[in-house]
Amino acid sequence: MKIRPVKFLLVEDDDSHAELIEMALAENRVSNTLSRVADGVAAMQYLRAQGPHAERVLPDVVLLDLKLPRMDGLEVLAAIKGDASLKSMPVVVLTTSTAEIDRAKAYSHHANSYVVKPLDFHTFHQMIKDLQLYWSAWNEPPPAVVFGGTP
Amino acid sequence: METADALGEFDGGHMGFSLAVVAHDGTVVSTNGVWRRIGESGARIARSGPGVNYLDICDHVTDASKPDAAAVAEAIRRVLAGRDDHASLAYCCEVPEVGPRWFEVRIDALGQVAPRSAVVIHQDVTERRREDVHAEARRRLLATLVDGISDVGIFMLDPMGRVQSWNTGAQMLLGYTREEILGKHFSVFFNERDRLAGVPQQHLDQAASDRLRSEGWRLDKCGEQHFVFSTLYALVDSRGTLLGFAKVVADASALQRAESELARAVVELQGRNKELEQFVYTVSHDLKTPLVTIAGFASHAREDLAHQRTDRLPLFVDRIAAASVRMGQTIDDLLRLSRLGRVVAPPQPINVPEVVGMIAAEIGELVASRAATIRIDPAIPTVYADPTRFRELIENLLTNALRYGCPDPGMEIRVTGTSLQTAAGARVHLSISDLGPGVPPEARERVFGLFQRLDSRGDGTGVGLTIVKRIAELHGGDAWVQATRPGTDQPGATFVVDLPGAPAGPREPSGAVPPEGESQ
Repeated sequence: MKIRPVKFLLVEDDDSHAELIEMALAENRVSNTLSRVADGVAAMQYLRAQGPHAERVLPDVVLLDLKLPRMDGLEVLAAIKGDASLKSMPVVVLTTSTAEIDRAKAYSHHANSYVVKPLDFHTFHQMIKDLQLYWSAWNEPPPAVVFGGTP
Repeated sequence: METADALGEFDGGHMGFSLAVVAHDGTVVSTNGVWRRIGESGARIARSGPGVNYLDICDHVTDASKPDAAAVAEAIRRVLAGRDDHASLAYCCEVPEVGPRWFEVRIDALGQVAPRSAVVIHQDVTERRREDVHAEARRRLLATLVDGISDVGIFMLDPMGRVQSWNTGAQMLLGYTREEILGKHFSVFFNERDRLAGVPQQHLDQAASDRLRSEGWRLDKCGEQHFVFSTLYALVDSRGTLLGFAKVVADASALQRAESELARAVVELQGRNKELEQFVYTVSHDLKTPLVTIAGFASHAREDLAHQRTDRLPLFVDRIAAASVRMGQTIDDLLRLSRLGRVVAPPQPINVPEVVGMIAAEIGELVASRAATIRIDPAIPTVYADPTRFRELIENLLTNALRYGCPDPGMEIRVTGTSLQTAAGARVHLSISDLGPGVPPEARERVFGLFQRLDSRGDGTGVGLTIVKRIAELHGGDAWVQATRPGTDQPGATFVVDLPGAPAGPREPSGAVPPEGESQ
């Protein structure tokens, strides 16, 4: 099994949740990078390399909370999937919401995955570990050329 | 003589009428059995047989019956002379051993040209008269009853639709007195559109074949519309001739109002249900967020303790404590919000500059921490509101402006107000303006949503503006946000609240608006 380091972009307004996700990722041995932005507007700036994020490295996977200030998660999702140069970017919705309506909306906006933040610590860790493993080992990423490169 | 024999047998059956045929000069030609029996019993006016001149007998009556006898003789003479073909009159006379009885006499000509003979019939109508008197008494009683009914309008129309009778209920419902309306066509109760469409005549036509039930708007004397239920009955005699119509009208405005109230309540309830659903959804999310934090860090702490690691414990405990505080705040806010759904106290005049000044002093600590100034326009007009709710509204707006609208020390928050006249009456638009980063146009609706925050760094829970909007709505107003200085780098936010500027009158009942056209 070939394991690649995965670059995550975490879009999360809650500092503590960001910390928990960061800690869970850090405990896994694979070397990963995690960048974090706290709202939807910043997420889009990051992905489009605008403003303070001009030097950013494009992530492999976006971990997206649904309830965000300024521009909420579904709007971010719609913006990513509606942008020709970003739409191949896998987006994992990572939320506390178990509401059916949220799941329906997320998938109708072409979310690649929908994951509910578990209350239980072990499940939480296992989930982060599996997420990481999935994206770093099992999933074959889209070729780099799709992201804004000239074909 | 055959005719006489036949007449003699024909005694009128149970009706008991006495009949005589008289020749052109008044001579009795023949009589029936009853005539004879009455004559035998001594009734003077009928004391005649064939060959006797009946006119002579009448002319010679001298007692109390004299005027009646003279009138009968005169009527017979007129018929015999060809001046009348028929005559009839009633009289009362004393029948021996029976007492006073009422009789009706009918005279019918035999033949076309005078001189001619005639048939004279006397009939005892005492019983029928008695019944007629009863019927008249009953009719009067019924009329009195109908006239006295005050909560239902009952009136009669002639076959053309002209009003023939008018009870108290009709007067109360439609405003016309009996004198004003009798003889008028009932189309005056219809509005112009229905009149032009021929609805009144359609009603008469339909009622003539069957009774017609209808509901719709009718005009009273002053031109005001009333929603009524009415039934129009055709009145037909035994031969099927249309005598006219009876119309029964009941005011349904109250019912109509109740129905539209109910419909409005249903819509409101549906709205509330949806709101509640949204509320539960939001609450579950916002209570779960700190719970995920607490559970996560508690698990980390347990793991660390199991490995005798303590360096990170203070951090974990801090996070757990902060999340607990946050959860407590959220629950408090939810309670505040749920209390708002209840009845508002009666509005009182509020001196806005004074109240805002008091609240600014109460939250002095927050003002000082931002090194901000709150400037209050002393000329803000008086607002009519529930004082407690109003204080809550101001506190939330000031807190919001301090938390999010004063990023740098030394900034200013302005509180101003203008009064204006709208269709809803006198209103006051209260403005709380800051010069902070402002609210982008696309987020101006959303900031009033439950637990929605523009900036997650602030220490608010995102319920304050929801409360502001709810309070404004409870006072029949609204709240919105606009830029203080549009088009600039630091546009700022101005929160405007629309509140009553005068004591609220009774609310207009909505929904009870005359619909287009007639409904049946």
